Amino acid sequence: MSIVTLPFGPQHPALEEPEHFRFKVDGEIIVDVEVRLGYLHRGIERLMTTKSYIQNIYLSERICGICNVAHTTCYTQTVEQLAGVEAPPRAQYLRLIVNELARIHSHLLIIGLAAEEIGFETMFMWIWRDREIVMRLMEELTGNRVMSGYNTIGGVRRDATEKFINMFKKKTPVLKESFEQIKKVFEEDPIVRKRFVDVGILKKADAISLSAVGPTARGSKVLIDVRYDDPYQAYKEIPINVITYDEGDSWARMMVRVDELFESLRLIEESIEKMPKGDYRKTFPRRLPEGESIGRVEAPRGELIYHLISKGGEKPFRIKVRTPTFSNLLPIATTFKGETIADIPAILISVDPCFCCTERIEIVDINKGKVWYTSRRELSRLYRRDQK
Amino acid sequence: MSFMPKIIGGVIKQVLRRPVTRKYPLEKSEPSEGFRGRMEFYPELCMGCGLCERDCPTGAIKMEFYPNVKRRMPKFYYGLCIFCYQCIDSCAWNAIKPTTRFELSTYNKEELRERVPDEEAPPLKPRKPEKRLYFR
Repeated sequence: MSIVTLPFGPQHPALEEPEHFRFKVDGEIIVDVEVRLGYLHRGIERLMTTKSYIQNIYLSERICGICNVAHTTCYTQTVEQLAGVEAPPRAQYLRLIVNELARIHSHLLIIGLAAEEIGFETMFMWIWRDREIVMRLMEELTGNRVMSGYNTIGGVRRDATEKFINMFKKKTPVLKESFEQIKKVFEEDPIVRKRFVDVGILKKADAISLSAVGPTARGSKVLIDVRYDDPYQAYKEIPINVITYDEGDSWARMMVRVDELFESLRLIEESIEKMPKGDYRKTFPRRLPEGESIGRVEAPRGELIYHLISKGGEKPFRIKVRTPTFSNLLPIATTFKGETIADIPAILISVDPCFCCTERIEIVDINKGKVWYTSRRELSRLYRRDQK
Repeated sequence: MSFMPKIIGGVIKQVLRRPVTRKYPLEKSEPSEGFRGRMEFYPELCMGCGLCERDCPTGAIKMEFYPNVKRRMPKFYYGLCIFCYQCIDSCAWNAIKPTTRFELSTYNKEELRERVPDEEAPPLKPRKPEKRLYFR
């Protein structure tokens, strides 16, 4: 039988964001896949060089809506490192709380979407109903449901109120019960198991050599977690248990997320108990010295890296962002081979892809000869504009 | 068929319970206490320093000169605002205050541009800052 090319996207009901996959199929079996990105390029890195460090907090938040807290934590951490200032201890604990709340709501979102993707819409509704509790907690703490605007350079912008702590303590048993229900369904339900188990297997060697991060790597028994490898902020005082699964299939990747829900809840509970009293914000200079710094945090989807170059002054010279989906895309492209067309959504959703995060650079296909040139004159003009 | 009673019980429980959704325009939806809604501007407290304009990430605030009282005051473009409240953080004189108002949709674009009218502009009364500023 001849090989047929099956285009998937940019507009497709199974995808939330515009991206394009070209599947080469032999009957029902996928032989090869090409990924084409770049439909969501917004030029944020360039825009960041034209705004001040304070304005960039809110711009970095808008790189990705779901992991906005991770982005601001990473950005503020990088800037603080450059200035040699550390956030006060209470702010570090508050950052942990808001990070873990965001992780819970991100994981609940993707587990719900995975349930919808495999046709289990009742579970999707259940999970999103319980996610509303977490959103309400976020609103109580930060002032907004999704776009938190909580982290700032030198600390956080408001203190945790007594009302928030009481509300969290009241809602913890409800959330725990809901998570246990999700875990039970994922472990026992025959529909979920048929769609996820032994689908899209990523071997441990592949995950390491193709540099997978986050739950994608942890599902293949790779012990990688920035909170564990290189603890930042309050994670130094509250150690985490890294959850890994051996199977390496879509089911294992989802189960890592389900187990991380419990872990995140434990971290919040512990940090509310251990939280020291005192200031939650420090004064910070508007102008930063010359230098370079790198910050990394564990976003819900994996490791997030910010690289900042400053040439002095109020604005950064260059900020480079490496998001987790970018490094997870190559490992997952290899797992499509040998699977059937019906498994495509189940594999894709198990990576938790976020393309609006990723698309700040263009991938050039050298084999096909498609290269986009930028003339030297254009580059020097851009450089001169940066100097002003 | 041993699971049938459990299912029927679950169905009856679901039918009798209160719905999770709310009839929003008919029922008032109360945001939480610290919700970031539309800001309120108090012209008599403003010193016209322009820090709000300088720190606004979207350029939703522009300082305007009032020739009759010879001072500057901000004009707010709510269509551009992302409600990050950086202007409230930056204002040392507490001239911009938070509210929880979130129903901002309108048919008239002009309603989203808030500016103190020329005849209502109060004269400048210099005084000391009320709040600690975190960015120096």
